[in-house]
Amino acid sequence: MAESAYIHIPFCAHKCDFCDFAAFAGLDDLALEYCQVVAAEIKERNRSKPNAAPLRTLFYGGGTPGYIAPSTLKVVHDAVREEIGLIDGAEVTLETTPKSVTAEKAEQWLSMGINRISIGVESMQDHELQAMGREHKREECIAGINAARLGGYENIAFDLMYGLPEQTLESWQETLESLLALKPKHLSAYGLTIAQNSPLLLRYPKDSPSYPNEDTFVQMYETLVSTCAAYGLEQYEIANFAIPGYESRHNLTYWRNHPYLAFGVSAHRYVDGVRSSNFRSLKHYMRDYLGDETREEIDHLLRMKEGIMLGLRLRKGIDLEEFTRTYNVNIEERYAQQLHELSAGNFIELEGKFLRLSQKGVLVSNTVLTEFI
Amino acid sequence: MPTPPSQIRNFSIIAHIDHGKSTLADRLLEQTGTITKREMQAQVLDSLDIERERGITIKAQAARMDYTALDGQKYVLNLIDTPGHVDFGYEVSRSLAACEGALLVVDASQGVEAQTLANVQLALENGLEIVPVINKIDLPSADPERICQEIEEVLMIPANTAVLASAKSNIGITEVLEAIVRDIPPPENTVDKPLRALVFDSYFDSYRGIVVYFRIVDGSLKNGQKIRFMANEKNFDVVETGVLKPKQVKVDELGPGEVGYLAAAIKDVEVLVGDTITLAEDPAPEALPGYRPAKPMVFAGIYPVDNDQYPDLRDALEKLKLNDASLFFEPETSDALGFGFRCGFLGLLHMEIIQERLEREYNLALITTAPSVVYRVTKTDGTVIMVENPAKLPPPTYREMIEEPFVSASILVPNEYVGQVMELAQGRRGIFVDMKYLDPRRAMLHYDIPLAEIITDFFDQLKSRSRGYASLDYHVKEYIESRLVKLDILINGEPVDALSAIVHHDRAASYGRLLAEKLKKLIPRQMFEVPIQAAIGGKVVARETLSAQRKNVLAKCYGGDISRKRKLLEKQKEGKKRMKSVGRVEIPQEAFMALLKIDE
Repeated sequence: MAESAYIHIPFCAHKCDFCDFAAFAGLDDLALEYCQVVAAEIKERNRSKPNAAPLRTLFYGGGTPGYIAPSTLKVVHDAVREEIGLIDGAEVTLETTPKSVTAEKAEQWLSMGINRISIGVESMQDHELQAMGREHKREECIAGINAARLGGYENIAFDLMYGLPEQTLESWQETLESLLALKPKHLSAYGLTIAQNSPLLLRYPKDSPSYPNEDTFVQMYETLVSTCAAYGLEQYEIANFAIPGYESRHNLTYWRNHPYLAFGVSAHRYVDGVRSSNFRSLKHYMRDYLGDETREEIDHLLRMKEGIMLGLRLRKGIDLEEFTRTYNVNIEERYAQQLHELSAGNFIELEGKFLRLSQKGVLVSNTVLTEFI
Repeated sequence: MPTPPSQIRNFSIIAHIDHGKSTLADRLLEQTGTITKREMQAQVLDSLDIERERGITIKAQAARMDYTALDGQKYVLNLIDTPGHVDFGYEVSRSLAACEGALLVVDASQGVEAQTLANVQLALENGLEIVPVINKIDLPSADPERICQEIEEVLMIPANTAVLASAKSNIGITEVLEAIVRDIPPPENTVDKPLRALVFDSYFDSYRGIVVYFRIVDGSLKNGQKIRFMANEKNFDVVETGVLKPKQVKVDELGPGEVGYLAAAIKDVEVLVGDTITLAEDPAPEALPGYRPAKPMVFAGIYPVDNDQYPDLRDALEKLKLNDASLFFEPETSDALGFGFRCGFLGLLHMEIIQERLEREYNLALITTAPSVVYRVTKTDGTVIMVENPAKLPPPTYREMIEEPFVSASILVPNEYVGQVMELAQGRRGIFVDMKYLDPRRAMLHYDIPLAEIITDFFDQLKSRSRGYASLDYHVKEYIESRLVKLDILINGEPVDALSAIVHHDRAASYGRLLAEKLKKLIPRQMFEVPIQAAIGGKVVARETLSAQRKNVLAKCYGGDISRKRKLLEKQKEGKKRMKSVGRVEIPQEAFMALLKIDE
């Protein structure tokens, strides 16, 4: 039984240079038909294997779900409500770019029951946004945020990126300050990773001096943590910060290694010990919305490893007692040597019954996690 | 029925790399119908993958051709291929010992090279008849007349009957075949004598056991007979005999002068290449003179990255040794690398080839340490030991003197590059002996140089400084005392024995600096700061610091694609596995060869 669902809406006004997701610009005409297909997918999947309970979280990601007409999105949303259902007070999130938000649309989303909005700001510096092939400017960010507020949103989350070409420690500091002054409830901030063949590499190859160097990157991370703290946002995951009580319940489903449903092109689900994904090609998906692009059985060992990989992302860390109950594995015994070396190097901390990454460990979390994989 | 000796011609081909030996061999096989065009894989005789890829011949190979000459008679021509690289002089002598003659292939524009010179000497010492073939005569730069003159003047071989050919364009192939029949003497007819056959190669076949390649010198051999290897006095029943065309074709009897193979369910014993086969019931009184034994000159440690692969590595080395008698190995242990083998090779190329074959054919992940020569160390108590592994050098207080092998090197070089080549040789501690002009264009330089200097990148440097025109031949001359010291490398404060080197005193400190710098580039950053130090006799002469990795963060875990994240981590982990963990530091394979790649 899953308590969460992810729905992928792939349409965008413009495809950003760094984007590696299933996202398409210029296919707006297909939006309605696409949403009807997703609704059909929801219906068929849930009828062949009904989810035992209504959902506690629902997340519209993309692409830019905020880009398409709210009435079009409603086709999907109604299907979720009618087929699977949502509990009262369910967290329903919609991702959007700042430019796609108008007060009018915000009102419509709110009336549909979408109670949380996640805005992809990425940066508040025009030249950095331009470097990334992002379509909006600082002013439009502010306008979008204001429009969301005007439309009735209070639970607003921002997405930022650092380690961008042309970015400096000072400009990052400025982005953080000016954005946090707008009092978001939630902030996600990821270091830029560039997919192979990304158009961004044409202008800024990997070794370009326009990227901040490693020392600066580390300082950017430290600035992020301290600035968020100053504004009352608590770091609850390695890249996520929230006013207490406003943590993303949907994303916590992933990090707690719980099952989740998924619908739409390229969407990944994790149900009954199997992780599978829909076709990544839009054409392919619309022709065969029940087909798998990937499918992987997650056996006990993999599940346990993923449990560590995900659990260590949470700043609270892994509750070792709960972990033993869930996976029947005692981490301290099984990984005694790794834990010894990692704590000697100050990469992990054991606090009470919680095992967590240190701040130093967060920055090299990939290397730390490979010890458990 | 065995072929009458009068109709047999056994020959090999001597040529410098790129002068067209393999192409000529292919043409001979084609023209005699031994191999049809369709079967022709480019360069049939180079059957090891590595040989074809690198365009060189490493192993001796044999091919039998049936040829009806212009005199109307049928002949059997056995070609025994010889390697063309300086490392494989031993293989050359094996091949030559099985022949009565040799084709000397010389490029019509390049002329005689140092390597050719050395191999011709070897052939003449073996009493072979030399048939000069001037190849690539259709190239615009070809000057056959000048080359003929050069062969006569430099090699002292009459070249008035030299065949003018172009193997690539199929010119002169019949003339080559006719010259073989006409000029190369047939083997002696010794059918009445007790069997003596010279083993020139062997390999392991999982169905038939060890397959032995041989040339009958005296007597004859029939399938089913009981044979004896004279060196180890072991007897075997022959279950299969045949000839090499070049693929194996069974025949029941082989007579004097014939070249063939046999299988006799030989399993574990070592078949010595160079040994003599005789009959158990009618043994020859005396074995054939073998070859001068292969003497490994270059030693290096070979270790499995994963210690569990140690037994597999041992099996693989044993199998390779079967058809590579010059390979030497014995177990050794390293504090840093665990269990492995100290292996001896003929030269650097030989080492690379063995390493590549082990990795490719036996699927092993290996670490090879930087190659070293064998040092002769006189200890303070007067005893003399040979040191093949720098880590085993006795401490300074226990040693009186270190001697190292010097080679006598002949370098043939066009006049305009003499300066650069002399500079190189002197920079490598070479001692100038003399310089002679072979012809108005080219000089032959003689140097005595420490072998240790040759086995780094000397050959590459020689080629690059002479735009590829210089050629080199060398042989070990004598041990000479040198001021040598042991350079130790400490990583994270711990000495890594596998990175130790013996270097000349005057250059030890600068070597240490370069090596530390190089290692800093080759070792990926770890989660903690890693000091890299070079020390001589306990005194640190260079220090580099590999700063800690500060950033390695996963990107967004988007839309629940957790499998992908996990796989990314798995891939990173795989990369780590291919490195050797020394202390807590992950050191990649290349780092152990860093000494070789130091550019001063």
